[in-house]
Amino acid sequence: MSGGYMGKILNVNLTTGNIEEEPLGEELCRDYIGGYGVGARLLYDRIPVGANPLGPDNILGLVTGPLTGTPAVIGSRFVAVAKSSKTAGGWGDANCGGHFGPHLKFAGFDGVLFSGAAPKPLYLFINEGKPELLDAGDLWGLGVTPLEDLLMQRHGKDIQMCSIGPAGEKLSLTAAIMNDKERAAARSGLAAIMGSKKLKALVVKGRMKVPLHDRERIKELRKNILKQAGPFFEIVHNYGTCGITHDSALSGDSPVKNWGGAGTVDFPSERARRISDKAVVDLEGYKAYACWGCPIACGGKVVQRSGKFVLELNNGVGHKPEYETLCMFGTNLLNDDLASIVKINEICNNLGLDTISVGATIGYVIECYENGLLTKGDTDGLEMTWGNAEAIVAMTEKIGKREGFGDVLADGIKVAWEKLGRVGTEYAVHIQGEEIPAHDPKFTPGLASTYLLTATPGRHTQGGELIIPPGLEIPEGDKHVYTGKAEIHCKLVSLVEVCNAAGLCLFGYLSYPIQAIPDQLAAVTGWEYDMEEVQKTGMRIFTMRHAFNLREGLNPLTRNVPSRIVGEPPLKEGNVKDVTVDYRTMIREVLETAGWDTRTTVPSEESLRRLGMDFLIDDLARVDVPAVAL
Amino acid sequence: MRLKVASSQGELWLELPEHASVNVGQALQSVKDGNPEAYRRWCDSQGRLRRSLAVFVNGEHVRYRKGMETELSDGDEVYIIPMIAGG
Repeated sequence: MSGGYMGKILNVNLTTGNIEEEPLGEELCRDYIGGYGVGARLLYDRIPVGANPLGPDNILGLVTGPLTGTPAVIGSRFVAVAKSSKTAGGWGDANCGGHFGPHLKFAGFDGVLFSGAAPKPLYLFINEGKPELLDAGDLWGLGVTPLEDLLMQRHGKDIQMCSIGPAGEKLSLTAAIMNDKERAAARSGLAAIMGSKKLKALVVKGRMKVPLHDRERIKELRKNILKQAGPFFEIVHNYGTCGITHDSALSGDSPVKNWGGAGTVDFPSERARRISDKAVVDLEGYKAYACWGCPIACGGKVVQRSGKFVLELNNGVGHKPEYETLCMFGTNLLNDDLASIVKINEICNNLGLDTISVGATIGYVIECYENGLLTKGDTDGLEMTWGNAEAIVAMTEKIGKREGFGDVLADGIKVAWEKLGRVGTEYAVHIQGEEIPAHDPKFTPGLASTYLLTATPGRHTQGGELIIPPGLEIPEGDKHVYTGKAEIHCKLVSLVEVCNAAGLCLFGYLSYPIQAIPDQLAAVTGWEYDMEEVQKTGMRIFTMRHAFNLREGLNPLTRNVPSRIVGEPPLKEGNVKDVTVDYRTMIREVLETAGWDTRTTVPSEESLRRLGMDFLIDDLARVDVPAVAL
Repeated sequence: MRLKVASSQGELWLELPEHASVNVGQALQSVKDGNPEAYRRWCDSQGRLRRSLAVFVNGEHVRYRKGMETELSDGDEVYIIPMIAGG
């Protein structure tokens, strides 16, 4: 087996309790690398078409990449993959840092695939290559923080784990799979899949070494790459992503007032400063925190033991909120009370919630309330008004626990909108059930193609014009000209697919020269990689994830397009005023460039052959997807 | 004439002759000698604004003015913002 891989995955049938090791095929790894790529390829074959995402036929994978747990910069990531009940039964995935991913490999496996559903709560413990299913009856109902503390007492401090909190147990589609108490694989609602299988946690312990094809070369590469840190490194090293909150609020990148406002008007500089950069790292007890092997250390701990929003866990120590959380609960809700957002972060981390989805859902509720579509009678007596920090904190907790009105909101905006009789459609800003992260396509128009076309809708970490690595030649031009951008868009999407599949962190991708990707892959695996090969492999993974959706009858062109994110009608104020994104033209050109049908999005036979995906030709010729004219 | 050029990483002041005519692009070029580190962060080797950045004058995107040719006046603030993904 090539370097970078432990060479095997674990198949765990939770219905029968049967556990089997499976060798990881070399060709599979060469073609799909790892993470989302290997996950999508395997699950395409193993999940029956039309399977109920919350039923036993679904498979939840927790998968690493070949650079996870190696000296590569920065190999800290693992992914969760499954059929998603959140996005219309399509492909679901989520990506996470922390320490779990590398330690899964140190325990002996590149990934674990969970099938079936346990009759009672269980957790899997892998100890130096030996897996064992253990009873989790006493763990069910615990928050993530007490759970991690208890399991460390039980199995030792040298374990790592990922788990779900009460939100995932209750199958909430806003739930997240957590690790390191405060790191989340949050998107696509995959914690609900874990909950449906009654799987509380995967605990790993081990000291195995990841094989490296050329140990000296990868060490030398690491040394050289770290010397080439670009401007992005400085921001995230000093502040984490909270370093951009102020600027993004004013530039028009952040959602303001549930995507209906303008930062310069509704959340001006003095308010944005209260939840940004220095205000955050100046919080009491701030101490930087790094994922495994990371020189950036974008995370941080803070202390909050007094005031209205005291932290109740970890002796008052919590994780500093990052950009997405600060925006979704800050700019988006016109809330500049930083202490409240620190508290919300604690609640979301402990109950296991996606802060993007919950903040967005509360934005929908507030706008409905402010416009008389909901009353205190609906919201358990809470006054859901813009910037009402106490009410926002209280509602977050209700969502995590599925209590009262929180039960209506726990599955996100789309389900809440349906349960509430489809009120406030304009305020229900989501794409196919996925709430949209805090980056506005009116500011970065190429994001519209990413949000609307990628296999998992509404995701800012799936590549495109928001994520441009140093050293990549980008054609000059006005970003608000919507034609002629498809080639670079496809290139950017493909590169990020490879970064994610390899187990690398996007912050390393944004901090160091792009050549680091093929160089490190080659040094670790022993396979030859150049940029052309990387891009081709990325497009293969992009296509594989898409094929999963096509086989389920899902055409991304049928997704709802929230009018606010594309400026239909355009805003009248702020730094993205008068912008209407011509997403139809951009998407049509991306489809043409990729060789996908512009009405059904089915890849042409030629494009599949070009990517070495001949096995899909017959399958995709048979798919029954609606044709849509852009 | 005094102009402020700022980003989240700090700010600097440009002192220019009174009644000088200077636009945004020229203001950024004038940073090159006095503050090469900031210049390198904002401009590429050809002297063009890095694509990953957006420029604002007194809080307004230069797109709504005359882009890099937007004329500046005494006391104006040029603010530079990175377009980056946050997690």
